[in-house]
This record gives sequence, structure tokens and C-alpha cells, in this order.
Amino acid sequence: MSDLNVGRTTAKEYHRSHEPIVWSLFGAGGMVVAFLMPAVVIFIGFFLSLGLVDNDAVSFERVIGFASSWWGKCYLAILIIPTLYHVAHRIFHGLHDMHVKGPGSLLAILFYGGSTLLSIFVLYLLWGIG
Amino acid sequence: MNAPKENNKTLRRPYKVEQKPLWWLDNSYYFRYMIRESTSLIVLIYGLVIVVGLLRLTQGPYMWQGWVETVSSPLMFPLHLLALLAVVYHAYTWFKLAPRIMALRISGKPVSDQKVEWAHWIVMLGVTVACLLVASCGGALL
Repeated sequence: MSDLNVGRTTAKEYHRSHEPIVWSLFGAGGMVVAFLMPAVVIFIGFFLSLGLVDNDAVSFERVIGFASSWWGKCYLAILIIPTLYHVAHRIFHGLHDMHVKGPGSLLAILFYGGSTLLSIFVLYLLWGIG
Repeated sequence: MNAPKENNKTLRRPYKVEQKPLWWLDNSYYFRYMIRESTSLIVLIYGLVIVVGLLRLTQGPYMWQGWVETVSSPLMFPLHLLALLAVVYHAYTWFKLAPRIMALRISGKPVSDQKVEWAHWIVMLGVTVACLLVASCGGALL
């Protein structure tokens, strides 16, 4: 197929897409929301709210102990960070579907940048515990 | 032929398909697609509540207790109910797509879509029960 390039003075430029990185974070978040979030919502929203578990289960000492351990930090980071990218990606594309495209790449910067900043904040908080 | 008068630079008259912003209300398939996408709005709110919880945890026992009381107050119950519906609907749509993403073959034979979908549900239920048991027994998974 090299004859297609005959007469070309410059090589065709290919741009790297950000989509694979963004989509893999979105996909990881989709997994977290599907597999881990139901338990979190049922626990906080139903077990705690309806008094089905003792309040000691969420005492400060226990939760800070959990968040101080390396596995607790891993769990919390996995629960929160991919989820933030997942929702950012969906809301960004949902707005695009509803013809809200924003000036330039403002919305992309707002959503992906916002979830990046929040993720850094979460890592900073986890780093500071214990 | 009949060149448009306002377009005197070129004879090109591209066919443009107009789409109204509420196109997704026209058809139940598109509507369900939009419902699926909008589960992310509720998940966003829930995620922010969890981030605030983590912040309160770093601020000491008094602030943590305040967060626990706020999220378990009756006023927050509608959010929890909505969040549960949102995450379960998300999981339903996510598991429906799973067989398209991983076309599994076991000893050369393709695994049916239903089996892949059901496997996801079984893992999800197992994870949910395990997390709830650990959290209820004071293992603190938030």
C-alpha cells in the first residue's frame, strides 16, 4: 500500500488518544461500583440507619484502626479513586449526548481534572492516617 | 442546477441530520441508556459523601461521630435508597455487557452469555455478603 504515500511531502501525523487511559479508569470504576458499592450502600444506608448493627461497629477506634492498616488504605483507595473517574467520564459523555459540549475542552478539564484533584486529596488523607 | 443562493462559494450542500437535545426521550432503548448513564450522578454524590467521611475521620473522634450521625439520619434515607437502586441498576447493565467484553472459551468451546452474566452476579453477591459480614463484625469496611 506504499503507493498511497506517493506525492506526499510530509508524513501523516498520528495523534495519541487519551481515550485508552480514560476508558481503563472508567472501566475499573465500573467494576468497583458494581462489585463493592452495593455493600457500602447497604451497610451505611440500611444496616447503620435502621440500627441493624451496633454503633460500635463504626466506632472511631475501629475505623481509624482499619484506615491505618495497609489493606484498609488499599481498600479505601480502590473504592474511591476509580469511582471518581467512572462518574466523571459518564457525566462528561452524558452532557455531550445532551448537546452540552462546553467551550473548548473546559468540561473535560473540569471533570477529569476534578477527579484527579479529588484522588490526590484522598491519597493525601490516607497517607496522613496512622 | 439549483445552487442555493446563500451558499454562493460552493455547490456543496451536505445533508445534515439534526438531533434535538432530548432525542433520548423518543425511544425506550435510548431512555434506558440515559437512565444507566445518570446512575453516575447519584454515585458521584455518594462518592463525595464517602470522601467527606474520610476527611472527618482524619479530624478526630468528635467529627467522625458527627459524620456517622448525619449519614444514618432519617433525612439521608432517600439518598441511600436511590443510591442502592442506582448501583444495582448499574451492576445489572454492567454484567449484561460483560460477555461482549470477555468472550470466554473453555477448552475451545465458547461460554454462553448467560453463564458469564450469572458468574458476575454470583461474585457480586459473594463480595457483598462478605463485606457486610466483615463490616458488621467490626472489621470496619466504612
